[in-house]
Amino acid sequence: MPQNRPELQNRSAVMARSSRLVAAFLSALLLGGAQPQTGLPENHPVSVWLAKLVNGGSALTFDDAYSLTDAGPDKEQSARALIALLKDEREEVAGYAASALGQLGLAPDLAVPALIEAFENPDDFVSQHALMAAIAFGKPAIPHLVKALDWESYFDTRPISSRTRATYAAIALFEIGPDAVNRLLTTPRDVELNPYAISVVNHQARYTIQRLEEKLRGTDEKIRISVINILGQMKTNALEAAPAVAARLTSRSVDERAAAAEALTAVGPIEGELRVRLVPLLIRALDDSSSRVQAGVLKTLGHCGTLDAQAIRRVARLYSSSKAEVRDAVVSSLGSTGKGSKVASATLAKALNDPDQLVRSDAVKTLPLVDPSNVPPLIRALRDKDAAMRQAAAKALRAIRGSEATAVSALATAAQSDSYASVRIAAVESLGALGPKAASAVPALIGLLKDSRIKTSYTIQALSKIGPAAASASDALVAQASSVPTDSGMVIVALGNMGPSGTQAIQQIWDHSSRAQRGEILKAIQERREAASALVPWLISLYTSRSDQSAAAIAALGKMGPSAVDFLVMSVREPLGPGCTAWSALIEILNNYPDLASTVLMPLAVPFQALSDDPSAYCREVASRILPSLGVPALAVLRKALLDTDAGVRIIAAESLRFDAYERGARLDDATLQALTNVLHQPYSEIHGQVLLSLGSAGSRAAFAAPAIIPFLNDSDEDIAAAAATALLRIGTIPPEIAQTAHRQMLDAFIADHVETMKSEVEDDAGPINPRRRKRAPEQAGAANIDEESVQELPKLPSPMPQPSAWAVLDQNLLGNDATKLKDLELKLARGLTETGFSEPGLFSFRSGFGLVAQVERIHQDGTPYAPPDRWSTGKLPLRSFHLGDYLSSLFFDTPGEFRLFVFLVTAESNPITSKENLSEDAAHQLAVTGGRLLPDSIGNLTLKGRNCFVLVYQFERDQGQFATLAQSAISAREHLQKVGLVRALQ
Amino acid sequence: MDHAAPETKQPTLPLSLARSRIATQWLIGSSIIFVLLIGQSVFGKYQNKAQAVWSWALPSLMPTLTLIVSVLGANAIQPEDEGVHVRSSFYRTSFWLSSSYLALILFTILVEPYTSFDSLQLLNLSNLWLGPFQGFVVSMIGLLFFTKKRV
Repeated sequence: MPQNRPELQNRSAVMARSSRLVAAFLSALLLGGAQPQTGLPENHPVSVWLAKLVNGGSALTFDDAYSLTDAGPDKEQSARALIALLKDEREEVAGYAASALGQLGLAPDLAVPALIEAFENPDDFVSQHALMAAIAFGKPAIPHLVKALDWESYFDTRPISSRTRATYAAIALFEIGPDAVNRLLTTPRDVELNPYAISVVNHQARYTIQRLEEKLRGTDEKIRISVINILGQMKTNALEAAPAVAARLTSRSVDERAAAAEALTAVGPIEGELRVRLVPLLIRALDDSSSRVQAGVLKTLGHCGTLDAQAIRRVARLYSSSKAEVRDAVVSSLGSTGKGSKVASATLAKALNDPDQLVRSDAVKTLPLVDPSNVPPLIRALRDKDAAMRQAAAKALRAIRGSEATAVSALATAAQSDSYASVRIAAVESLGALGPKAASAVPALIGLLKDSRIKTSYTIQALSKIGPAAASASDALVAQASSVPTDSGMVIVALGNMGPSGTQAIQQIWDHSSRAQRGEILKAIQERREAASALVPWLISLYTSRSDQSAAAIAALGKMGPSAVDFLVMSVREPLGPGCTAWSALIEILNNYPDLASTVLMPLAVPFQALSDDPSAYCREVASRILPSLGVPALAVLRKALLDTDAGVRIIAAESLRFDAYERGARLDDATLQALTNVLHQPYSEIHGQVLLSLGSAGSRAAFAAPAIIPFLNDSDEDIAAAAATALLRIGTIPPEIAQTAHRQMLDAFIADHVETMKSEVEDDAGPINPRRRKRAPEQAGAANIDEESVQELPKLPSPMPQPSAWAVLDQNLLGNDATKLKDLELKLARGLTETGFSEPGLFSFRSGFGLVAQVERIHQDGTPYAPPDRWSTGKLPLRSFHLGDYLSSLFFDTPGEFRLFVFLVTAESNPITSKENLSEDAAHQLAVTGGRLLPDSIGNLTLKGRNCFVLVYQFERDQGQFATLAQSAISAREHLQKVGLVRALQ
Repeated sequence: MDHAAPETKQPTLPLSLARSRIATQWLIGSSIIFVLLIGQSVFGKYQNKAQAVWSWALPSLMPTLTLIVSVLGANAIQPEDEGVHVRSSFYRTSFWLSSSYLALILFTILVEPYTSFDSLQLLNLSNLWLGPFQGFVVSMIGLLFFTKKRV
């Protein structure tokens, strides 16, 4: 289903040009005005409506905005006028024009495409109203909306504009309902490939499943397979259809059986009656001749909970399969079906020696889940030649039961002597996770504090978790704190867990620290997320010693949780005590542990009131931090603070109320609601927004506040106006005199809220509109070094790969022999590419091998590359000298640029390119820059035996700034390799 | 003998002559641009973007040409007042502004092979300078072709 983009672009270009012309004439003839031009007579209903809209200002009523019911005599003319208004710069004009189009339902073939174009309007108000209008068109809008579902997309690299249009179109379609689903399901093959279409059918799951089950009874095998694939993509929503899908496991077509098995893996946990029905079917399907079907069924069984002994034996028997994917599925399946089973435990232990790295790695992770007492195989795995395997084994040993002494010894050895940082770190963390049982590893951990190959924070944390049993490490930790002051905070916390000797050591560190270092130590303690109750006695002693850090010590107690409460309660009662600082720490603990409030705060009601009357604004601010859910004393203080003379106190109190009431649903009493209403009569604009939201949180109980809220609907601050609308919406009572204005604002707020909710749902299904949100935060840099990175996973290439313009299988003689390791082959290919002018290629994981992607390069028609820098430029190439022939040719003839991307796939698959999708140029560029840099040993140590090297050539043509992927290259893939010089480079 | 003070008269030329010269200038200039664009369209320079290119070109020229031709046509059947003159300085300004505008359009098309912009990108970019310029040109020519007073 191609999009009609050129037509849209042409239309927008014409409109842009026309508007320039109009502007030029207007400026020349000194004409003009603020009123948008509709080209309709002044007394036309649309013109009258528009005049009211433009002149309405902030007091615009519901009727002004939403009640254009008369389209006038010529409906198409009115539609054109409203469509023109969609481009008005004023958001109200464009947004309400969209709503009017939807309400009137005029000229759908003109209006709906214009509304779809408005989905991309950068102003949310306009795009949201355009969406609701498109929904209002209903059935006639469906073909246009279906076309807008970004059918050209290829995984997630489409531009934001396409994703926005497709996301909004998907929302409109599922809001329109079954008619849209019917339209989409006329071509199931298209739906299964389009995540937006999947999102639409997912939101109409019940109806979709009925329709799909009908189609599943049809005679066309390809349609049935597509239907099964759609159900698979509907995931848990398709659970209802699981029996119908499972019935296809007996189909004569292997593709259909495989699709059914894979779809069932996606429907999630299978329980109750459904489980009783499906498990026998699934067990029977294990006899299938296809490994794809077997693997899918095994994974589905993994969602059926623990199986009986007979079924476990049947599953375990499949481990003898020659196919790695089946063996891996057996391992995964046993992880959830075979808990406590000796057969499962033995099979997994056997799988630790599997020839396939992935199977071994999964087995090591699964074994402790099935049989935590089967420790010896894990200890053997800790000596595996593969680093990823050793790392997984080190992590797995955290979950064992029994044989801890042996495990601790093996982990300590790995922590000290493994050549990979990631394995050493995993071993140290596991020692920490074993807690006091790892006491025998303390000497090894002390040694590691001096080992520069591993970051000390891992070791200190492990010692901290071992606790008093690690007391012998006190001296080493003290030395560490003095040599690396930045570790002091962490060392102090670790020592705090080590009992009396630890406390002595803390004092030792403190005594030898400078004032600045002491500040750093207390800061580090405060920044720790978890409460460290062991430090409470030391912090109290620090306070009572009246040192220069007393106040900081009290503040740190606020992070220590309930164990510090008794001391703080005593402190706030002490007339000459730490005063506000102690209150600050106590309130922080009470806010985090509200259950303590009744026993702690009630007896302190009088001093707490005194705090809120303190002459110092800081102390009153401290009091205002209390959350209203802590009870009557808190509410009384907050009410007073809302009218405090100090703006800082008012802001903190309003924020406390809003956070607890609006965000967390705390109930405010009537007196507090009255106090909030009173604030609206005060000129405290800095807290009006918070106060309005707090009032709204009370719902109809705050109805009395409506007259005070209403004036804020027209506040010049948009946030305050929006808060007022939200508050009224939640209160639900609107006085008649402002009903019109309030209703408009409430409907606007409802539309914004509804569209945002729907948008996030489609984004969950089809990926976010803004790709920047996809980026993960950078990993915390640990002691990681190059060898650690090398065992991390590579990014994955899409499987199957999109259809290339040309492809070939490289001659094995060119690459090596059966014994050639993949890392050597990767080196050879990368060297060949760099010798022919490419920079280092990007590496990807691909099924049973790896992928290697070069840069996109500009080529001549015969396949020879341009000379740099033109070779790497994707823009238009300008003429650089004057030659009449070249100039005239460039002036009168089209000179499209041609581009090429080489992808090398080393895989055991016989046909990795079954997809009919094209790779867009955008996606090609993304691929070229997102690849990994180092091939992990887990892949690199595999051999070439049984694998082929495919070379895929993706060719693109650039014309007028638009790239098109060539379905068929004019020359063969081998010629491409020769022209770029790769054949010679590889020889 | 009574000697009257010599009147300082600014040089003028008949309005009809000024209109005729400007019309000739616009017709020749536009023809060159149109021939060039037709050639480019026919030889496939713009492929499927020809419509967008013409949507750029026609509004740049046609409104002014239509104005000129309409006024000349109206005057052809309704003889104008022969006594109306236009200041030479105003005529010259109009003439050179028109020339510059037409040259700028032509330049935009001819310079494209030496830029790194795609044709359509460049034409759309040229709206930045052609838009304001067109405003001036249209106001000058509007005055010249609509007025019946001396300017």
